[in-house]
Amino acid sequence: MDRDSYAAELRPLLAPAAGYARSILHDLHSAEDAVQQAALRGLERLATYDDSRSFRAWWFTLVHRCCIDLLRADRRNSQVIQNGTDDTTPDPVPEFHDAERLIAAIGQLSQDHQDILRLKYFAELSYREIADSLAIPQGTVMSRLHLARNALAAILQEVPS
Amino acid sequence: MKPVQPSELSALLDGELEVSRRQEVEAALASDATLQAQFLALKSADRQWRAAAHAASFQPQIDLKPRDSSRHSAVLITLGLLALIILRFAPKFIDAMTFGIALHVVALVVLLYQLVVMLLEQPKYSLTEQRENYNRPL
Repeated sequence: MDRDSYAAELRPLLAPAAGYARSILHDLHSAEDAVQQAALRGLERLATYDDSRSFRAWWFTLVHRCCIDLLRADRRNSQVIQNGTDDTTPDPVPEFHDAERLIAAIGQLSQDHQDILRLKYFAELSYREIADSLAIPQGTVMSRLHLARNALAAILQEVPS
Repeated sequence: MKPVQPSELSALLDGELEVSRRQEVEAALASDATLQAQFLALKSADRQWRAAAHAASFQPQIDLKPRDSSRHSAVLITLGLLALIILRFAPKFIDAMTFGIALHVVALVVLLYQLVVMLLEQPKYSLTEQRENYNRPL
């Protein structure tokens, strides 16, 4: 894949990637940073991209790793700056309330359930792509996703809207 | 027919069941009110979560402009200045006036190169078309 094809493939995936990153980082600006880093990282690693693999799955794996890197860096900074204040910028738009509620509820689930729900709802991956991303069989995707949905529904029922 | 597993309702909702199994599950749904209620609850929640996830997405400002142009400029400037300094301090090769003129020529070439690169590459690698989706409501 060349640089132009990469840019063309990436363009429609930027907004879902931003939502996906936001669901992990809980902050708009950090999410934008993560997507920017992933875009550049993908560009650097184009030569290693395997054409037989779903581009979407590959791209969201990059975004996920960049989010994890940012979270780790954030934790390191928090340790260095003792008594530091939370510098994350709250989402300013009230229309995001349902999105925030969903993101917060997903954050209460087990890591496996969080990962699979984010890949399904924010990254909009197919079962095959989720299986590829998480390195698990498609049958496991089906059962885990169902359990995760039930767990999410239970949490959302407890939390008042 | 195999009994319908709860996880197959999820797969049906996601359009991930194979055709033959999908037909079997749909037939079971049509004749089983409990199963149908479970499926409708799943479908309703799924619709809400999709909408919420969609609302969380926004168009980020992403810049994929290659860094090569600035690297090339730095290399050009360094090479040009090195050449001029060597020539300036090597007797009989270049006088102060020629050195000054050459310095300006190098600066002009680098500036023009940078302008041409910017004009050619800016639209090509700018991924962000608009930002109005940033505040999209549900």
